Amino acid sequence: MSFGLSRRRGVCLFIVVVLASIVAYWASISSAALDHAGEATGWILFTVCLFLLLFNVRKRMPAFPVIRAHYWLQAHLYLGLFAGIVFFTHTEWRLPTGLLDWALWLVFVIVFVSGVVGIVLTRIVPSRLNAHGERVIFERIPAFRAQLASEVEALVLRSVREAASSTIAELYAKQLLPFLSGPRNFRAHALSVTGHRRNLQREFDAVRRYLAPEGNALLDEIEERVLAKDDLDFQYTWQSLIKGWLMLHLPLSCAMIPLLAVHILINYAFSLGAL
Amino acid sequence: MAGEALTSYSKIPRPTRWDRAFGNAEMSDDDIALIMQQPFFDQIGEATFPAQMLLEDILRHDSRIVRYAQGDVIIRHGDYGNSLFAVIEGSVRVLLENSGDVRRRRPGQGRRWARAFGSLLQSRSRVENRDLTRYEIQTNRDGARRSTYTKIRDLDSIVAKSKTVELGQGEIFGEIAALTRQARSADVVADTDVSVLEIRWQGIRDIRRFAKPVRDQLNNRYRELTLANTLAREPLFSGLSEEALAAITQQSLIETYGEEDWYLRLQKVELSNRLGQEPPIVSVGHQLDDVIYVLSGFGRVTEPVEQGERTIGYVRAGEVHGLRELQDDHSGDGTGLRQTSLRAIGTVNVLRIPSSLVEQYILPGMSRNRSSTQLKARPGEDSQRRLDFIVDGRYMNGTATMLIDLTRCTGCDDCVRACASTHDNNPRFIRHGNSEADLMITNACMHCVDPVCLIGCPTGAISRIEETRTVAINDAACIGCQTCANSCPYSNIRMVEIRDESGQPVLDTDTNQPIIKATKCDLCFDTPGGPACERACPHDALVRMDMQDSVSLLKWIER
Repeated sequence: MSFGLSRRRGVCLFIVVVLASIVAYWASISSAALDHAGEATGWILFTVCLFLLLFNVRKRMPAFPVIRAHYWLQAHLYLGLFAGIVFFTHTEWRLPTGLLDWALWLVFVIVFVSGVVGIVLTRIVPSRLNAHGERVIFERIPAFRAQLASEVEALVLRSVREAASSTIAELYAKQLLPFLSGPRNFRAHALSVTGHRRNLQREFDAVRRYLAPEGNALLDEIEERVLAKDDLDFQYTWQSLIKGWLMLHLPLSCAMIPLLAVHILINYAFSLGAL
Repeated sequence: MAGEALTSYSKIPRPTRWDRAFGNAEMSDDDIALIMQQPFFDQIGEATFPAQMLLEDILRHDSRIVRYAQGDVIIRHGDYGNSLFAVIEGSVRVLLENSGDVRRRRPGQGRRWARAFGSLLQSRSRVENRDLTRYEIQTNRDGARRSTYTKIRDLDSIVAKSKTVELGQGEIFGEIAALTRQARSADVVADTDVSVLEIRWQGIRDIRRFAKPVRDQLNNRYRELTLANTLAREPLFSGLSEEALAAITQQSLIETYGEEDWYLRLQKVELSNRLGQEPPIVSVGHQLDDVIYVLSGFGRVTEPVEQGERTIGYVRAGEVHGLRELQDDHSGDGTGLRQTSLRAIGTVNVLRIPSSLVEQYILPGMSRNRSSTQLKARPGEDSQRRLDFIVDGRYMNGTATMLIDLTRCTGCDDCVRACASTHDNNPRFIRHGNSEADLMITNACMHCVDPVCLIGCPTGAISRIEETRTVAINDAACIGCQTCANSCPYSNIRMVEIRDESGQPVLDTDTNQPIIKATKCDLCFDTPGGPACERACPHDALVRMDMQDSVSLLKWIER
């Protein structure tokens, strides 16, 4: 997937922007005429938010012949964008006042921004995962990591036994063991910075001069596994991100609905009082 | 597990082959005596069968007598069946022309919806478990009979307007589809009220193995009927006169290439060496004496490149190799020699039609656009590698292969969750598998054109469902022998330890070892929405693809 603007995507974006602009323009005119524009935009927003939440309901009904999740997601994205514009129109592009409104404003903004982050992640993650080693199932990563660590340990022991060298063992104890014992360099992988990888390779290069040919052969095998572990860390980082953002987006989306309901109730209660 | 703790586990006797009879109950002694008087069976000598597998035992457990009323449909054209039939009393009528009078019906819609609603109510933390009463051994006899799919009311008018053949007492039918795992080639309808013996193919396999007369008779019928049916039905031969068909029938050769048990060794052969293991059917540079019509299986089309061969396509059942070359030769543009080779992928049955007959009867009525290969390598390394990947891996065998576009897949696992949700929280595939560039073929059952997993199953637990053409496992009949899992060349069948309703493993009463069963993707055949994995993918990265449909395959890959 990419961010390229296909014809279909362009048409959908155009429609969303036009509809949202009509709502915003109508709201501004109504507001100038002292009409209740906020009430209308509020109901539009509430309805759209309910529909957006239905995507999660669809995911929980895989056995039913309802519309494919792919089309649901497309509708979710465009309606989410529409909801964002309507939201800021509804708030008249101003910060809220009052505790409940602040809570609602913050929750909506976080949900909206996390949604945008989600779109970006779903576009960039596949190509990044493909470019760094074999695709690995997330739940299997700890097992693969342990396997690599075990293989490296065996090779280090061989180096002590067969090459009668402590150089590799020292490198292992100081540098490799901490690296192999868990996921590392999360931030570097997330930012696609490769300095730590170059540093690791420099550590290997630094000890090569002290080793006999058989020691160097073992070191090559160890380096291969260490770099594979680094690829595994990369897979772990990006798969964590793609799974993690939803942990923020979804619960807050669910929390938003009762907040919206309370917001509506309070507004009607006060407006009735005013009448 | 400590010995004392084992008392708290559910225990059942380890399932064996004949725990469950083919019919609702075992055949009675009278039934067996009746069958043994039939013409097909009276030639079989009991002496050739080993003591642990007597003919009587095979018939008792692997066959059933089914009674049909006049007009009942016994076999439908296009279905995948696993049984041979023999007429015991009355007669049946084979409808040689598929007129559509026997309509397909998808039964069990109510059950599908019930299952779908059930999946909504189930707890996500519940462990898949089995109702152990389903595994109780059948010994009683209730005499129930099978209901039919549908009934034809105006059989007489169909008989009057189309070509049919009547089969009477002692005659057999349905053996080709049962033995070759191909679709039924004709509708068969009860011509009168009729009693039919139905033998599941595991029984036929064993009778063939121990009774030479049966083996010879079935082999001869297979050769004769396959040829006759092919010539009568395939588009290539449509419009030919009876004289032309007779000439081709008499002068063409049916040949078989490749090893029957190719699937048992496939994974031991490196991908790069597989081409060399495939026996040539025709070779480049040889005289163009005949064209090759593929009856079943697949062939790899190659052309020479320096010291090796480059795959340029594959042919499948119903396609022809050498026809284009013969067309060129016929019009004066050819050399009279073959330009490409054809190799057998797995086991291939072919019809070798002499060029002289093709030139005389087929070429005059043909356009020059007919292609001999469907999926061809296009210019470019990516395309070539992809084709090699599909052919070397034998993936063109799949009718519902799970493909994942790695440029779109984020690894969100919505597909896995959807599968688990529709299968008692236990997904039936692994979102991992061999990949070539951006294309991954996952470890999910492909529902093969030729499902070799069926071959060794001793109980018929794994079979192709007639209505949906899905290869599915009957859990109650599975004895956990692992034959299907070992036979699947794609490692798409898993053996799992079953659990009782309290979530505890079920043990064998004798050995205290866990009872295991085979599981695999069933294409959600019993839910109303179809494959949940495909519909659950939010990124349009996953598809269940019929690899025979090369146009859709290429369109999906290159979208």
